Amino acid sequence: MSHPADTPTLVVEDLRTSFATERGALKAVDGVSFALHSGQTLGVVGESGSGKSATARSIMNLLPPGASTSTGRVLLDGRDVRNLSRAESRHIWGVEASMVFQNPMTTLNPVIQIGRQIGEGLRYHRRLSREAATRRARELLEQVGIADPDRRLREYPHQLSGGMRQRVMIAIALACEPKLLIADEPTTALDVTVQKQILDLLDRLRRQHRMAMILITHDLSVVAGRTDEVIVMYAGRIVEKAPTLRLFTAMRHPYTKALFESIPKVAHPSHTRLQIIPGRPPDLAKLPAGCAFAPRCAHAQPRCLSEAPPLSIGDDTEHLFACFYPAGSLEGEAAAAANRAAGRTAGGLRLANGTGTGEEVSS
Amino acid sequence: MAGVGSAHLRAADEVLLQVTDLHVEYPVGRGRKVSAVSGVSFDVAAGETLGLVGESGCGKSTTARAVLQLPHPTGGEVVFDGVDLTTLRGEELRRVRTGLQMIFQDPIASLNPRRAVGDIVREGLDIWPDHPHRVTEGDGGEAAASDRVRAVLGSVGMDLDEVASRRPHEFSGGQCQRICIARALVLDPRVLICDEPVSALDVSIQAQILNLLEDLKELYGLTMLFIAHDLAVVKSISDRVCVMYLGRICEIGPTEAIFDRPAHPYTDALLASIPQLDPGGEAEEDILAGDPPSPFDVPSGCRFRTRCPRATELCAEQVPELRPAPDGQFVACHFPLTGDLVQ
Repeated sequence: MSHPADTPTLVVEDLRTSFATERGALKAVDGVSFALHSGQTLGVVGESGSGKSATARSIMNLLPPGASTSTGRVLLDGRDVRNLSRAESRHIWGVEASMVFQNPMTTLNPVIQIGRQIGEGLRYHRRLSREAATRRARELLEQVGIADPDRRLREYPHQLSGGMRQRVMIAIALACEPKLLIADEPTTALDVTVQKQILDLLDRLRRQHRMAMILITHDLSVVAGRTDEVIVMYAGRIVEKAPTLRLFTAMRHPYTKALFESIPKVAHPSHTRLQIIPGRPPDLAKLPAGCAFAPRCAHAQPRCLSEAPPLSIGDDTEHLFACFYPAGSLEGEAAAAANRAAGRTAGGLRLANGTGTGEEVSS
Repeated sequence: MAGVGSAHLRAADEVLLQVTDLHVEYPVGRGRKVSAVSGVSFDVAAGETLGLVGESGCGKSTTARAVLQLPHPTGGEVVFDGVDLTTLRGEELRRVRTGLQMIFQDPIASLNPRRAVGDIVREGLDIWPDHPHRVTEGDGGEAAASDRVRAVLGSVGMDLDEVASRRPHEFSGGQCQRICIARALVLDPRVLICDEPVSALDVSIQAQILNLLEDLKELYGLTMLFIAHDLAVVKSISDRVCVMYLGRICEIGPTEAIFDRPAHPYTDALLASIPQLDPGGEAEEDILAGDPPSPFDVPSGCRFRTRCPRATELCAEQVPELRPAPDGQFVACHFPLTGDLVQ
């Protein structure tokens, strides 16, 4: 895919975030790097604890102070935005980069009218008068597809359905015309019909405003049709990164492949046995020495337990994955076949014929 | 009649659970009522899994709870194994209800955080000391009860000795759902009602639980009522599917028929909203705009007509009854997608 020659809207370099807990430092984000150009959408996929939301919050400077440390560089339009003073950064967050959160039920203030909540950023950052902010709020409500905006401006969040509240959240995020929009599980709390409406809306607005967008989700099918590039995360690290079409035609990391295969498909007949990923994600405070996925991986070899595979280029420069024995390679298929023949992997995972009840392997 | 018909019901002796013309209303103050379920009828044969799908607020969870008489439905019958549960009260109802158990969406919130897992799973047997799994020879059924708890925990992939004294917070969401399932199975129920059992779980754990439910269905001969909003999940686990909208049934029938040849425009719209796993596929146009109408102010006639592309005046005047469609399903629509209905 050809990138525009200009500076990327967002560059993230070696982002590392950890939280201090009673049980020691918890590595939520462990060396994440990527770049994103204007008008493009990046999908970030992972399960809970994979670090996808922590990545977004680290970029947006939304981590709880004190409990966390975060290193690495974040460049917004070429400008390092991590070490700015309060005064300098005041008009960056929520203006140049803004975010839509998962739960539209709790992210709106229940005691303030919708119109004022949308206009708040405009009044503060853009110094608009109350009338001008209301006018602009009305336009924004129309843009996000809310009927009868004049009435809605004066309503409170509880008078709106979940889908409408998420539209209001999007209107707030777009109020100051950001260059970057991060949508963190924007449709997880919504019905499937509303999910489609919201994703279509985000897509349309991204095109209209030439925004860069990060779409964070646990659902591979959400990123499939709507992103230019996808990052798959596991235990705080990027395990695979590729242009969307490439990723879905040739998944190389065993985790990506297993995740895809574990999803029930509408195209399959009912009672089709699901492929499972045995076990569960690792404890981020006690990560294994080697590859974090090795204990659950059907390809795992002794090397995977002692050495963490770096994220590196496969057969083409745009497809990166962190695996010594990737799917679709000679060594990867040989490793999987050897494990199958032995009935167990180097990580101690039993490979029964069929999938059994999918017992979680105790550590 | 104002209901949606019962032409789709099978003979009473062929089914284990039969729900007829179920109504559930909630008082909302000032003498007003909101109708969450109005005139729903369905049946489930022994060993069958019926999937209930629909958007939030369509009454699928209320229907499931009303089957268990939680709360008692406002009207209609719920016949389980020849007994109408709506006529029972107190001790009698509680005893019959041991045969129907339920698991919920949030597995962690459904377990008492202060109690040990062994006690949680065992509680049913302590409440019903005369249960067949309790009464054996001698010792007040202590040994029989432990054996039973060990067996059900084993069948969900957990070891009693390892987990008995641990508390729910020590387990992950997927493991807590396994504990909930074990608790539901300890009294050997015939019907398991699953209310969104995997929607709070990660994808990789979701597959484990779905496979587990299929295995347990075989092992214990369960009949299941499975509620989910994820259509792929419902398709994967169900023999028959019932699509609900705003307290009524739109379409009910064999899973393959509903998914491959939907007859109701709403089913069709739901299926079209499923995000595709194929990145090359063009997204379809938005065919279902807006939100469902408020249950306080339901449209006259067919409740879907305000969002339906095929609606005419007839739809505003007459409530469509469930009628047989060519592929074995029953549809409540005046203008079904499959054309003329079987008369």
